[in-house]
Amino acid sequence: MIAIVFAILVAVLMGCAAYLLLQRSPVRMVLGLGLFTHAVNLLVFGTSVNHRGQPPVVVDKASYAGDISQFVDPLPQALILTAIVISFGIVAFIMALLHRRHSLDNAGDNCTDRIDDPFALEAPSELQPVDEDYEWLEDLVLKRRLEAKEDD
Amino acid sequence: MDVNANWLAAPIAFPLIGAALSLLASTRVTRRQTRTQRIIAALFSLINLGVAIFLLSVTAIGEQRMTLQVGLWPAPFGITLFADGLSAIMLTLTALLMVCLVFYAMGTLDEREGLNFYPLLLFLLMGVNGAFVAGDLFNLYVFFEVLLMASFVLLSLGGRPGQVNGGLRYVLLNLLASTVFLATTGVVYGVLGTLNLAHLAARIDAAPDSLRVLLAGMLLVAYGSKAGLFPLFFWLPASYHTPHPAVTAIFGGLLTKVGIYALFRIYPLLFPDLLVAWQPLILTIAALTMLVGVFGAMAVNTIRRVLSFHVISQVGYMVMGLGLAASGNQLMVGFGMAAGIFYVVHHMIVKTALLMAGGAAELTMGTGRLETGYLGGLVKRSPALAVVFFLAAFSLAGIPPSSGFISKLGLLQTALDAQQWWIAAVSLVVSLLTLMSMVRLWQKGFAGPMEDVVPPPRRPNQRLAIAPIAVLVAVSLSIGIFSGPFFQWSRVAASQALDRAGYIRAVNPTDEIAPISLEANP
Repeated sequence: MIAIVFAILVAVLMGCAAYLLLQRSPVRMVLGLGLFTHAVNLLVFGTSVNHRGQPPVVVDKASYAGDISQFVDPLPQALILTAIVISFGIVAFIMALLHRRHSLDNAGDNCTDRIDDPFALEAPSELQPVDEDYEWLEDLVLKRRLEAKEDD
Repeated sequence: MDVNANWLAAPIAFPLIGAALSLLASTRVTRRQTRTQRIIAALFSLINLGVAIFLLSVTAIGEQRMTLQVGLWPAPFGITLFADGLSAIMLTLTALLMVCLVFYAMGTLDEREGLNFYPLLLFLLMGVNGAFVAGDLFNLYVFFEVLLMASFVLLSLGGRPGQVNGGLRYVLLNLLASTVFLATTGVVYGVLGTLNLAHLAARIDAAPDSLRVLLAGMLLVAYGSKAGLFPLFFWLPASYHTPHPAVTAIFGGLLTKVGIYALFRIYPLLFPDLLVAWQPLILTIAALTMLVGVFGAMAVNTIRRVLSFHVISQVGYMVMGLGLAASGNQLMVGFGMAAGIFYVVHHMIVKTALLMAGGAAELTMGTGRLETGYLGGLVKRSPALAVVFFLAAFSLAGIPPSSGFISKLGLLQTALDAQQWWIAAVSLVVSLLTLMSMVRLWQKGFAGPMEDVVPPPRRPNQRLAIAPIAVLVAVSLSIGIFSGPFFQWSRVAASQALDRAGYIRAVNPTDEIAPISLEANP
């Protein structure tokens, strides 16, 4: 029963994460990333809650003769602990990068509104080639046109 | 030869110690701090090279496998470190590239050198080495994250506008891929109850087909986006041209190849039958990766962007080797895989040399744009650089007697033996297009007329920048000329990677909880 609840929860979180990740706003993307990592952590956690059991703690080691199959598996929790730390660190790093980008934008080093930038705040109104990549092509076309005019 | 298995921890421990020591030296930003960090980085990357060559001599040449059960916990319960020929070849290449890169970085880095560049490089080395010796799925994930974390910081070190944007794309897409990998790990543990690779290999045949297809697919997505396979490669050309050239060089040579290593390790071990069943899929992905990469390289117009797209196209060749490991309805023992591994060897060396040379050209001229009026005339301005670039470029394109020729010949021969005519044709076409692209780089950047560009005030130290490239080019040429032993090691590595029973025997996972005695594990 609890496994189904977990499955639904993970699915809902993943759906929200996918929706947020497909947004243009960088803050929403970060939120989506956070939700996505949480969903996966829950997924890993879900592998240990299939059956009700006891915490895997043996108080009296010498006289313990019980059935260890009643214990809940503690390993997924250790795995999640590692995964949480990693994803937290990376999300914090992304926030720092976004902050840096914001302050660069404010200082006039505009690095956002190019067509190949997935994080530009608005979609460009019409398709324009990136100068850096296609300037040579434009120059070539221009040169051809001039030559054609001269021929006329 | 009886070897102490504790040596397996050395490729992780030494870079970590080096990184920690050089961080100690970073109390304030002075020239002396940078000098101390330089010395430590050079020392520890050389030590690491020594250790890696030792491991190579034990595994690939001595045809053994090495296993270290950390803390003497028996296999599925503790952390297992494992090395065979494939791991050792990757470790040795990584170490060689790292040594060359440390010296190249000394010659070319600007003020970013003072921002703890060398400690980050050593952390990156530790993560990559750890991924190559990890013996279970979760540690593989953790070391992926270690190397990614270091690479995130290296990519955005300095925080210039282009770097910040490139860094964001790189971080977001790589974190997504890692999270998919983590999800797979969770599913694996939930269903099979173990994460140790040998234990998994022993148990996975009992799992239902649907589940194995799911796991194999998820791992293909996770590793494929790390490796830059079609259609998951978008982060690579969007970010690799933004950092300092030294960083691009090590990323292009190293990072995608960790994904390739994971594919080469996991697929033959856990899904050998899917390797056969999915052969058309894998070969199609390989072909599309090659084509998209090489066409992308034709469309872009700065030297490092062109080379970044060639990274993608070359990754296609390696996956082609993996796809050719199967022939007909069975796994051929080794030749396709061996050709793939040999290609990885060739590619890591040549690609790093090319990116270093391209970066040095960019730094010398102050621009990387391949147009009239920007880059040009480097033959006269820096003849030594032009010579090493020429040799590396023609090795990438596959002109004999370079290593590129032998490795492409190996793949082509395998494809023809397996009667996969179309992939052979695609690889030949891509090879030709690569040659065209290299000729374009040469003509625009090096051969053309001397442009009267004002070079930047800070030019790279020619000797320190060019010597490492020359070393790599020399290694590439000697692999091409004396290819016999190198191919033999690749064959050993491939047959070890394809031998599941041998892997399981070497790690020897147990289902009983009993401490192993000290005598049993010398």
